[in-house]
Amino acid sequence: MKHFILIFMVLIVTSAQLAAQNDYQSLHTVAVRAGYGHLSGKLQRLSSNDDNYENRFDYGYVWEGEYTFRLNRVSGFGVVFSQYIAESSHQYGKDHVTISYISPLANLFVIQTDHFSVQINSGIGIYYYNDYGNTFGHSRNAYNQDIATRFGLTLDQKIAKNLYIELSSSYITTTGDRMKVKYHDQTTEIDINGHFDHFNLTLGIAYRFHN
Amino acid sequence: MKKYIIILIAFIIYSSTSCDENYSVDPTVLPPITQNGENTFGFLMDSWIYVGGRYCDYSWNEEQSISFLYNRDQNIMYVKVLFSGNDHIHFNINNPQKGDNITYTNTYFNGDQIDNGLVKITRFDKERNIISGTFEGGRITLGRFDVVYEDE
Repeated sequence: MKHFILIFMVLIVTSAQLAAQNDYQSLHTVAVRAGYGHLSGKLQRLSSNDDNYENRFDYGYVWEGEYTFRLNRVSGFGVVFSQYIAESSHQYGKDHVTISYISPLANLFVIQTDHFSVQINSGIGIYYYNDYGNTFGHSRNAYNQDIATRFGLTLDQKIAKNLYIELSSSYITTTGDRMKVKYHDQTTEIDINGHFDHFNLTLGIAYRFHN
Repeated sequence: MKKYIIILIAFIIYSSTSCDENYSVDPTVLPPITQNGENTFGFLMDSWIYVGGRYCDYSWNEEQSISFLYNRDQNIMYVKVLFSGNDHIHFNINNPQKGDNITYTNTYFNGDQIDNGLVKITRFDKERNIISGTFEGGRITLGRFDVVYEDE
């Protein structure tokens, strides 16, 4: 984790230095994307501990919203919010899982033309896991929040004035060793055996506000 | 000074005998039905899940919340299990043996006598002290246990 923090700090400092040296016009970009998510670790603490049931949560829907402030031709910073959503049910209950993530982002534009750009980005933020479901007719809520790190790659293609189509892939890796479960008017903490990461592939549109 | 020494000794004795809460046990999910001596116990009562193995209670003079005590002379298995809070159950399995549906008796939940039921023992290994099975009766359904028992 220390390495990620160091890389993140270097990106911020580098970006700030470049901004001071370059008079590239600033851009504000707002993007909304949606797509597919895949968990690379197993979700745990669902309302059933059956392996086949847990595997159903390996795939889910994802949507993301992102704002980027362009410092110069090669760098920028912003903020991203993403949400992974998966749900399923079994004989005695169901689970509705959302994994929300928000973080600042440092962006590097590695390819930039008038109509096309490729950027890589990274950020360290907070994820919030929430499983709201029921078991045997009674509500059950498992949740936790902790640090997560995001690495992303985004491709932009201009389709109209100020309007771009975006393809983005990102990998979010989480930390945390316990989860809280609320059931029968009691909240208990439960160990998580390992962590879960998820890979997202999303498609959407971006709007750039030129100065 | 003497008072502090007594407090210190009492603390050391308490610490050395205390058992920790087992955070790996999820009291909101029934354990799977196994036969390996995994020390699991759970059932459904009035559609609420009760799972043992997480908490300790010293008023019982025992370290773990799941207690299966076998009296070979009387051929009775004494079962006591503590759940979250002050919830607990105990019952007896008379003449336990593998395969048969046996009536469990003397059933109490939180001190109140409740209906007895039937237990089906799927493993009773007297060499490894493992007893596994399922049970239900009255308000209790989907009961299951897989425990390393102690000889009385």
